[in-house]
Amino acid sequence: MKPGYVVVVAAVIALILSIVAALYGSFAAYMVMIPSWFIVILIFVWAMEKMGRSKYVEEKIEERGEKR
Amino acid sequence: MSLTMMSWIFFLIYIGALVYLGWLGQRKTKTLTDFVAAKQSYGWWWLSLATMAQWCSAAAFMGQPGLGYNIGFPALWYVIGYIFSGFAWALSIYGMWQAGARTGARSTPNYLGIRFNSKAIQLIAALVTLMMIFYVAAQFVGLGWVFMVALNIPSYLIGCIIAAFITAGYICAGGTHSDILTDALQGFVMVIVALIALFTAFLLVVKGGPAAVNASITAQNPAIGWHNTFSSFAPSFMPWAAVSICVALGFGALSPQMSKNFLALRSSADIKKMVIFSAILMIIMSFMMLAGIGIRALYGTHPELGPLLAKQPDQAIIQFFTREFHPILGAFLVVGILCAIMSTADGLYLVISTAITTDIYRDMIAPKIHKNITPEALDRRALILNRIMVVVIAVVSLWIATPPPKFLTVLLWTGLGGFTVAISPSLILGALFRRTTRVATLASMIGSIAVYIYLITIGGMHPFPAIGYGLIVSLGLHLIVNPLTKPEPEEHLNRIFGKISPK
Repeated sequence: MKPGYVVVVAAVIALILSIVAALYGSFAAYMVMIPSWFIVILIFVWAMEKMGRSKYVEEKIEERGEKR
Repeated sequence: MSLTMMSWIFFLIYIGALVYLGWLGQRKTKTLTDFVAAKQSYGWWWLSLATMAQWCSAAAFMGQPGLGYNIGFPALWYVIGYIFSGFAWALSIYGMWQAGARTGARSTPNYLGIRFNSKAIQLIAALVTLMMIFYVAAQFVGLGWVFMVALNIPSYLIGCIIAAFITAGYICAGGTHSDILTDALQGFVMVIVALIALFTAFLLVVKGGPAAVNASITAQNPAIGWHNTFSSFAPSFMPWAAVSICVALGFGALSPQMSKNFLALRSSADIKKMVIFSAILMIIMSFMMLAGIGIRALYGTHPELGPLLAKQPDQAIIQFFTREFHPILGAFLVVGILCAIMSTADGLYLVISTAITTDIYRDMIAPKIHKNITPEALDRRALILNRIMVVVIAVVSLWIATPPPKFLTVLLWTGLGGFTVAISPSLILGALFRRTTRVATLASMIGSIAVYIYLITIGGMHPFPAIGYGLIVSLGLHLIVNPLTKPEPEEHLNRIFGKISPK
């Protein structure tokens, strides 16, 4: 599965968990939503690294510096 | 030794540290770009602490405990939004850092102007940034209270003036460098205070822990207990408004005083560390709301404090710290509150002054009216004007903050809401998707800010639900207009983001 899709699936699962937790009250929502969305953040960071976004940028910037 | 005396000692140590770091920042500041952006100068932990400190302000350290005290567990929707702040930073930082490093963008409006190749977008973003003056004023309200209660200063206004003088002083000296250095220190103190507040005011304040806290506040008012998902009496935490503010905390986290920090990150290898550490710091800051709920269990039926805090719930945390702790610890905690407030106010001076003097004057007006002046000379002129403007903004904010409002969170969001609805969605979408177009961004900015201003002025609506409607307009216009308009030229996008990432 592509990293982008993994992020979307994780976000959908977190959203469903958030709605279910909210049915049990505001404190339950807090206790469930904070960790579940934190995991989504971790998965997003993994996806961005997997897609090579930051490494690629670094290379391009170094390249530009060398040309100068 | 009395609490007031200890508070003064800690306060003077704190001011000494700020002056020293402000001086360090001044030594690093040679050019306009140094002053407004400190480009690629700091590692992830400096910027994570500074970004958190800039986002968590008087609202976090006084407003949130006040809301928790007054509204109980349903107010937690506000701090649930903090995890979305971390998410919004993650969504935008990769693209924004790339663009900043490649193009030399030196502020958030400037980045947007470059990203969409549009001076109009830069101008609108800069004008919306000016609304942040209400946000600064909200910080002064908090400072005025802290100085009165903890340092025994006789007048609210004098407290505000002292704080304005100090913050404006070190920002004038070192700009963004001073801002980041001082805010990182203040962020570190805030983390310690939030952890102490969690354990003392929520977990240990009533024998029996959180369940006993819930039982105590439910006995006072069943509508504030944890079985309530939303508030049945506070309009700002009824279903629509509560979910709005939760989501808005994500979009609002991209306000220019935070998002400009992405440009200051030294290396792309630091991005993931900054994202994860910032999210953890925001989770820790959410504990302040729990502290306010715990204090309600403690003071809600107190014969003297109960009626006082019912009128001024924002004072709950200060009353707790100053009454319940040994003067040394109480004084340290009061300094923590000062850190939260001053770290936000200083960054806001900077982004407002930069919007006026750099984004509007230096980049748009000056090149047209001073055609014979070199760009370097214009930069020097803008740098001087920027420093003067910091002082002007401090004075205008003081004027707005007098007299103080009942809930400072409302004043704060009146200023912050404009940026949240009009600019933040475009920041995220522009950083994530190359397909985001200039026309869609313009339509989204203009449409959403018009709806938001109409709702809070003519409509008389509270900022929380108004932000929800504004975000629907903003995101809806992106959704509709983007597919109907031509994408930016591939050459332009490659200049900003590089070629499409390798598979």
